[in-house]
Amino acid sequence: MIKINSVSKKFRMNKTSGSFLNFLSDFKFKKENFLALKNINFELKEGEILGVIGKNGSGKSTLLKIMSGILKPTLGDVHIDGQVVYVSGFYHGMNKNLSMRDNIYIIGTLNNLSKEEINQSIKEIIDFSEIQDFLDVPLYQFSSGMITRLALTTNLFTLPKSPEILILDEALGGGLDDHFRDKALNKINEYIKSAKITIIASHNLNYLLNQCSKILWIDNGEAKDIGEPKKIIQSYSEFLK
Amino acid sequence: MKNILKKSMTLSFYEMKARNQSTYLGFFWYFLEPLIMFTILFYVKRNIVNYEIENFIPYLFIGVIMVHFFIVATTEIMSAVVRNYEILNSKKIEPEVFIYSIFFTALKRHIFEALLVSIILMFFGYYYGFLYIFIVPFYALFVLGVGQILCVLSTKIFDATYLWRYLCQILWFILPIYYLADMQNFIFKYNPIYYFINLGRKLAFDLTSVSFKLFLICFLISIAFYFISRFIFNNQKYLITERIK
Repeated sequence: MIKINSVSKKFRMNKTSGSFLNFLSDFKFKKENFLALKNINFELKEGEILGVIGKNGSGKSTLLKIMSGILKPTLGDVHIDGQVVYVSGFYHGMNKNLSMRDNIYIIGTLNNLSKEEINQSIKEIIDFSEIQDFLDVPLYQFSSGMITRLALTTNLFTLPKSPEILILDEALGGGLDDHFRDKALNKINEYIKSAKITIIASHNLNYLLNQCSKILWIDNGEAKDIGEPKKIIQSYSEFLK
Repeated sequence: MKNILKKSMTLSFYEMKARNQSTYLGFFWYFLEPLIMFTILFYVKRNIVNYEIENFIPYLFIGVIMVHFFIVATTEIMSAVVRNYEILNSKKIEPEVFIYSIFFTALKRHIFEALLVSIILMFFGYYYGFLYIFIVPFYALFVLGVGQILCVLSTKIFDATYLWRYLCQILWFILPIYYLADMQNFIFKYNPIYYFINLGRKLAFDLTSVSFKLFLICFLISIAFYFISRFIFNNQKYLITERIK
């Protein structure tokens, strides 16, 4: 079960981030703050799939990062029963001077896997990515699409097999061809089926309509609406026009 | 903590692999910088400074590799969080992992340097130069402590990174690397690095003058710096990612 109770998140706005003069001025002037989330409340029970929609910068990722423990809320409480797995569509940590094989070990390590656990998954990762011919080629010789494939595959196959709470933050990213996108979506759907609760932030409204049991619409950090997917997606589509 | 250290070791291994890949000399490149510094300072001392220093070769070598390790490790640890902010902002991972991985990389380089220096010293007849290695654990803990404090500081004031680089350049001159130190001078008396260099040198070529007091001072400095830095880091841990966002 997940219970989000009056969660707000404030960030300090670093317009000319961290300069020494700014540091000195902190003693004289008030800091500029940005309220990324304002009083968010909702509950999710086992079996529910929540879709989170909103424009860029509306606060979706901030909410998901708070739920996954990457960020702490400024106000309010987050109660989560179970192990949280956060999958983001932005892949960092890969070293372009190293081979695909080495990068699988790096991403696996960053995803909290031991060497033995990575050894168990490596064959699946290589086969799924369909770029096995480049296993020992440094990443700087890869195209951006190949890097996205590798990153997504490694991230997907280094997740716990049955996550209790799965959080997908624009997990597919961009730059994938249709064939691989469908294949990756099928794999993600397998994870969604095995998870107790799933939260998906995405701009793909059709996907959310088919997958989710509930939609949360966030605008300017506020929960504009939460409830039945069809109704909320319709209102959101009209709002975007 | 065990998990953090394991991850750090793995990342450190791949960091070194990435650096050494496609180079012919690999690990030996790490030794080139202190070797160049040694050659310059050796030349300066022999040709410009007039007075004699006993056992000058090991005296200079130990001073150079210790200061070089301090500068490389603290400068790199300082930017560990800032450099990896994208990962910290997209994965639930402890920021210490990046600090320790950089620290382990610098430590491995330093141990390699120390081993090479030991071999060179043997060639000059100093057969116990390898004993320097006994000070490395304490000195490394002290360096890690300084690096962690600087890491927190650099997320608060970005200018600190530039300032530290300048201070590191000054270190080559305010530490007795190629000249003799007067212990009563406050520059040395209140500089913790001096005590480590002093002990390192005594272990390498003047074993009979090693005192328990000096060992104790070095031990206490390293423990104090490490635990104070842990306290500061743990207090700022969650703010670090948000500050650099």
